[in-house]
Order: sequence, then C-alpha cells, then structure tokens
Amino acid sequence: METPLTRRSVLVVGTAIALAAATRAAAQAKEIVANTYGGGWEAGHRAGIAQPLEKRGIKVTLVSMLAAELVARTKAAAGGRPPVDVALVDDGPFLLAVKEGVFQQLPMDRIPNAKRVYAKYRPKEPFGVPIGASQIGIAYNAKKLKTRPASWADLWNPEYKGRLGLSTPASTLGTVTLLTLARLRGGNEANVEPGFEAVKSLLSSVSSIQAVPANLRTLLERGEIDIAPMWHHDSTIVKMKGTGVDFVLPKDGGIAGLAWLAITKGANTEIALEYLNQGLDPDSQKLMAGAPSYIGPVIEGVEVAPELRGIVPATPADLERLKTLDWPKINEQRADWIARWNREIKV
Amino acid sequence: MEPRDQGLTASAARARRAGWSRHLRLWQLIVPAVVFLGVYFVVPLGMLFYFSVHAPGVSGLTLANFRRVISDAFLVQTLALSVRLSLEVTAITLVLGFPLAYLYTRLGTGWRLAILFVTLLPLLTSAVVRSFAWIVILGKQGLVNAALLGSGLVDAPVKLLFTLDGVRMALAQVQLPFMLLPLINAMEQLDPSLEQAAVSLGASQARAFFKVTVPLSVPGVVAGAILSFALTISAFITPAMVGGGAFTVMPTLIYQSAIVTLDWATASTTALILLIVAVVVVWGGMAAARRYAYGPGSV
Repeated sequence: METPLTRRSVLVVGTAIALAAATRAAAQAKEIVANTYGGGWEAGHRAGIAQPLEKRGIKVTLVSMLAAELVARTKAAAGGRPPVDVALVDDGPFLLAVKEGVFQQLPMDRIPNAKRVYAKYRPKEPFGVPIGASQIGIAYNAKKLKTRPASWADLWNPEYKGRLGLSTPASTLGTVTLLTLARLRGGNEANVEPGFEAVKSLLSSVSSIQAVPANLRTLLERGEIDIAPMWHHDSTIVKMKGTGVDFVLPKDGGIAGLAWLAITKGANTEIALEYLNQGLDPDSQKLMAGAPSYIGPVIEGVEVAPELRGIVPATPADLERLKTLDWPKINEQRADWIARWNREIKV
Repeated sequence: MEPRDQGLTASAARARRAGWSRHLRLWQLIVPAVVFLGVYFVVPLGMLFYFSVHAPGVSGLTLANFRRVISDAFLVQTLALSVRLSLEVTAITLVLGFPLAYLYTRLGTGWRLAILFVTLLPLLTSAVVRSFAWIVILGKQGLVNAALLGSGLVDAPVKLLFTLDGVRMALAQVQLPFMLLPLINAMEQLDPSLEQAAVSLGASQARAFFKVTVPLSVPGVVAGAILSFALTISAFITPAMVGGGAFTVMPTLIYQSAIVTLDWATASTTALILLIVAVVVVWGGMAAARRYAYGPGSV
C-alpha cells in the first residue's frame, strides 16, 4: 500500500470514526437491558414496562436471570460493562448488592412515581425502588389431600407424609420458610434454632427439597409433591392451570417478600430511570398484578381481580397482615444457615 | 511482494536450515487454540488461584482458606461422595458403552446411525429439560413405576426419584455419548484380522476378545473415562433436581459460595480442591490403564 497519510485522509477517517461513535451512542441511548425471573415475571414486565417504553422508541431487552446469579455476575463485571442496566432482585440479594457497591444511588426526584409507593415498602436507602410484593403461604393439591391446611402448624398433619416439598435457604423462598417455621416455634432472625428443629421434625413428611423454587411448581403439577410453602404467584400460576392446586394464606399470617428494581453502575442511567418510573405507573402495576404474573402492587389504589383478592397482596388491609423480615440481619447469617442446612437436613 | 512477506520467507528458509520449519508451521496451527484457551481458561484459572490465596484481613499470600476448607469434615465427606459418584457413573457408561461400541464396529451404516442418534439425543436438550424428563420417568406416577405397578411386580411405587440411584441413571445417560465416541474411534482403528489371528492360533472367541480387542481399546477407554468423569464431577443441575435434597455434591457447595453468598475465597478454594482431586484421580486412572495395556503381563 503506497497511500501516504494525508491530512485529508486523516480527516475522512476521523470523521467516520466520530460518526460511528455518535451513532453508537445514539443507539445506546435508546437501548436498555433488564433481567426478570422468567415466566410470569417476564410476561408482566414485558406488558407493564417494556411495551410502554417501546412505544416511546426505547428498545428493551429482557433477559431471564435469578437474583443471586445477577448480583454475582454484576460483581464479576464490576468496572466493565454490567450484564444488565436495570436489575430485578429480591430483598436479600438486593441488600447484598448494595453492600457490594454494584448499584447506583438513585436520584429519587427523577422517579416521580416513587412517591406512590406504600410507606411500608419504601426503601431505607435510595439504591432501588420496590416493583412487586409477594407473600409466602401454603400451596396444596385439593384433589389429592382431604384436609385443607389452615395454619403453618398443619404442615405436620400425618396425612401429608411423603408429600411435602421444601426449598433450601440458598433461595429466598427457602430462607423465608426457615424463618416462618422458626417464628412458629418462638424463634426469629436472631434465633433460627427453632426453625432447624422444626424442619428436622418435618423431614419424615418431605418428599423433595429443591434449590430452585420454580421446580416445586413442576413437582406439584406432576404429583411428586402435594403440598409446599410457596410464593403466592407461583401457586396461583399452578392453580390457574386447573391442577386442583390451591393457595392458603395461613391464619398465622404470611411473610412479605419484595422485588426491587435497581440500576447497575455503568448502566444507561437516563433510560434506566424511565424504566423504573414506568414500572411504578398505576397502569403497569395493574397489568403486573393480573394474569399471568400475579405480582402484588407496591402502590396504593391498584385493584386486583375478585378471585385474586386476599391472595395477591394489594390493599392496605392486606399489607397490615403481612410481616416483613429483617434482611440485613438475615444476610449476616445466611451463609451459616446454608452451610448448616447442607450438613443437617437430608431427605 | 511486500517486504514483510519476504522477511517471512527468509525466516522460514532460515528455520528450514535449522531443521525446525515443520514444527514452526505446526505451531502456527495451534495459535488460535492457545490464544482461546489462554483467554478463557488460563486467565480464569489464575483468578481462581488468586482468590483462593487471599483472605480478608490478611496481607499477602495465605493458605488460610485451604486450611479452613479442608478442616471441614462435611466438605471432605462431600468431596468423597462426588468422586465416588463420578467413578460409578463412569463405570456405568463403560459397561453400557463398551458392548455398544463393539457392536457398532460390526454393523452396517443404518444401524450405526441409529446407535449414534439415540445416544447423542440427550445432548440436544438442556440439563434442566433433561432433568424434568427424568422426573416424569422416575416419579411416583412416572413411566417406570406405572410399568412396574401395571405388571404387578410391585404393590407400591418404588422410590427412584430423589435418590442417588436416580441421579446415577440420569447422569450415565447424558455421559454415555462421551464414553461411546472415543471407544468407537479406538475400536474402528483395530485391525479385525488381529482377533481372527488369535482365533486361528487356538484362542477361543472370548479369549481373543479379552486378550486382543479389550487391551487394544484402552486408549479409547481412557479418553472416554476422562470425559465422563470430568463432566460428572462438575455436574450441578441434575444432582440438584433429580437428587432433590437427598445429598450434596461439590458443585452445589461451590455454587452456593460463589453465587448466593458471594464468598469468592471459599468458592475458589473449594473449586481448586475439587480440580486437584479430579486431576489426581484422572492421572491415577491413566497410569493404571497404561500399565494394564502395555505393562508387563499384558503381552
């Protein structure tokens, strides 16, 4: 190649590079990646958040990734390009991620809809906004079990022997179940001992313990288990398939779990803020509260379908009954609980 | 010609004079693989090592993580179970794969394709889907129990799902092709006249098979066993789903530390210990196989 570098060629190449960069920046400005937990969560986020944003010319890519994995991947990518711009995470992983410093502090005034959030659900620190509320209760197959469980203590009913499913505390559901059983026997976040005792005394009833709560859904449909502590939305999804599975909110109360939206460091912040704000829009919250997501709204004034009342927590009265957990305290000990569960809990 | 190319030709000529041009050119062939493995294998392995020799609150290198992890009796127990499970699954794939491979080399094209298709089929689905399929097959109301109950062989469903046996079956199924393909490759290279010669010299068919065909297939057995062992000891989804809480394997512990509790020091240390043990087992197996095939006594 005998082309000498002229000022002109430099100019041409330079302009081309600048143009390409500008185009990329413009393209980037209108694109965003967010995770959901797949299934009903993805359907809800697509209808409630992605589609309204796409009408405004923003391209939204939803990827399926569970909270713990998302936090680990974001930590691994720290300093580079994060796996998502907007992260969907539940309480434990959310606080862990904040502690690891992978989420941005949010300018709350740029998320006007955040003012609508129930006081009970509001974040203590501005690193995320709640997007959906869940409650844990008991899913059971009414076609196969004669007795409808009414309280957590009913799990010990001899009729349920060999039919119970549990999840390990490596999942949020498993951790909440462990604490629910601990509370039943006088324990709490600081004293989980009664929870382990309770699980051990339940083992003769247990058919399977799963690490991923969604697997319990499949086992319930297949009849490998007929009863399990489960999130209300997972239970409702199985119920709506006409499987005979029903959801019971035990009379001793449900425990709330919140799903949060946060913005990763290195994300496309401007568009991410729009995503968060859209998620808290009343119409979006209503869409996500219906089929096939059944995610509890976090803002006041969202009506749920009559057959979902009391199951999808929505009204101030529902909130009144929900107990919340001390997740900072849980996170401190969670590794120990998981290790102890590995050692002591065998089917 | 560009001066650069001339330079290359000149250096190649010099290399030829030195007598290693062939090696040089072969070297160039593996450059992409070396770069790929360097970036995606050696670097992550280096990071793993880095995390394992650093501990919070300790400046410089430390073996504290290794001391802490190894002194945990539960970890040692889990490691032993993982190694045992992987050896058992490898043995199952060998017992199933060897006759299948032998048969393969003696069948026509149609049958060969059928064997390959059926054994490779499980690889076309993800581990999650495959595990769900095993739940359908092994469950209380699954295919196996329906057949057993229907035939009157048992009165109550047999517990297959959520047991170690179920996990062995599910893992052996998916590792079978990794055993079968190297075996087929090794056996296809055998000259059938060797076995015929042994028979014509007075050996029985069985003796000819065990004294000629089996020892000569050892390279295939070794390759297949290494693949099957390595893939089983790192399997994560199948033991969790089909095992259903009946036991814990090493990858589960690594996943929990790496992903759930973000304790990367423990995760890296556990992973390195698993890697070292796996390499030792594989190396020991290779040495034993070599002695069996080529050592004194096999001639």
